[in-house]
Amino acid sequence: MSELEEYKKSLHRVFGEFLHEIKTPLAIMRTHLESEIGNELIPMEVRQKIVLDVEEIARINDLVNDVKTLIDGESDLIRSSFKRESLLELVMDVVETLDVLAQQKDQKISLVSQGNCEIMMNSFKLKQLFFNLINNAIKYTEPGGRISVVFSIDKENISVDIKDTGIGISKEEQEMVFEAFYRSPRTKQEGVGLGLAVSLAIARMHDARIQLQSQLGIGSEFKISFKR
Amino acid sequence: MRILVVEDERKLSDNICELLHKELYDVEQAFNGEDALDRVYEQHFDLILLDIMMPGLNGIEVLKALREAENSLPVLMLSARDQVQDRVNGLDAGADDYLSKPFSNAELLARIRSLLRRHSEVKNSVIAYKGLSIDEVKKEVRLMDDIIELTAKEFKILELFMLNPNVTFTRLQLSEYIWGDENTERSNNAIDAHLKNLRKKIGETYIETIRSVGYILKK
Repeated sequence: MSELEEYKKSLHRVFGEFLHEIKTPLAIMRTHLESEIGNELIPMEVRQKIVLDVEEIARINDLVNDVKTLIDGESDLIRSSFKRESLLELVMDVVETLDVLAQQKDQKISLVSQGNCEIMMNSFKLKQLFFNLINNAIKYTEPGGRISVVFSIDKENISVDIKDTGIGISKEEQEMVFEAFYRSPRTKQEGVGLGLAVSLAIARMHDARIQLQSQLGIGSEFKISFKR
Repeated sequence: MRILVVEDERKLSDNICELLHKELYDVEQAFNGEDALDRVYEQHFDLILLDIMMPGLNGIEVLKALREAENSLPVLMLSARDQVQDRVNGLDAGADDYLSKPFSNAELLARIRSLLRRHSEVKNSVIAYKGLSIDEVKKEVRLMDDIIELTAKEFKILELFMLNPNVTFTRLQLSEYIWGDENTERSNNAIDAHLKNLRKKIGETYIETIRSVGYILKK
């Protein structure tokens, strides 16, 4: 191993440990604070503030998890957690979860599938990928718009196509949106800009590709293809 | 009910024990794996909370030793480690459930209750309260004898409230509960929407809103 590679490896390890070590104090703070949320002896304004603080703690923890996923995407370690599971059922579960958000915006999510298929996956991670993409489709599509999820199988690939009638992404931005911490100047949504970077890392863990086609004002299409 | 808390991080262990005490559980602490095994072999417990990362014997090794000794005590694993790999290892080694740090008190209590229920001798799958009843096995909800159709997520939320009356759940806790605590995409809006739909079906009286705090089912 070259000196540079060794250095990268040790940096990687230190960073991984660091992320792990942050989680324990967060857990302690969270248990402390949360035990007071239901305490009726505490004034309501204080309880409301505690709820907000716990949400901030959860936000740090999310950030830690996302960065961890980004680093893990670079290693093969994650593959040892893979199990053979149904991809269609996983996608259906995510759609069911998010349908309630679409309903609020008067949007329709349709799910079409041709066949079912099991693949080797880490279902916790993969769920997050589809959650990100479908949630984005809902967020960036006007009320009354449509979102379609199409599951298809051909000789070589199993693909999930997520298409919306939303605001779209310009040609110049299409590369950048997958970069960690990139935030489009057009977005009004909250967030730090890790969603798509994390989704791409999760896709790579699964040897999958994400293709993006989009036109401003017309909509976006994210196609995730897994090898059969 | 006696619970053994095995956690080397003393502050966290104390916090958990205080919480469990409040809920009227008998609690014992062990701060390392060897100590945990000694206690399990000497005393009766109904459940173990077992941290994975510990100096000496780690949680997975403790669990393996227990299962090899044909001890089927329910075990809830706790870990801050790379969650996914640990979850798989833990469940493979015979853990009954798994919770990654940081977890919420509500989530911890809910998991403990449901594990104890699953392992209790008397199996009664119906929980009833003021004309509303849910059957956890048949996944059926009745309001004054009429069957109410709920979506899977609505059922999960209602089940949580029915199992944990008088506990305040924040929207964060509810999202983690129904979408998994590893999903970093969450939405308070979606939780409000689920609650709204649920109330349309079971009526407004059961689950109360505590403004800017969360929701509660009062008994």
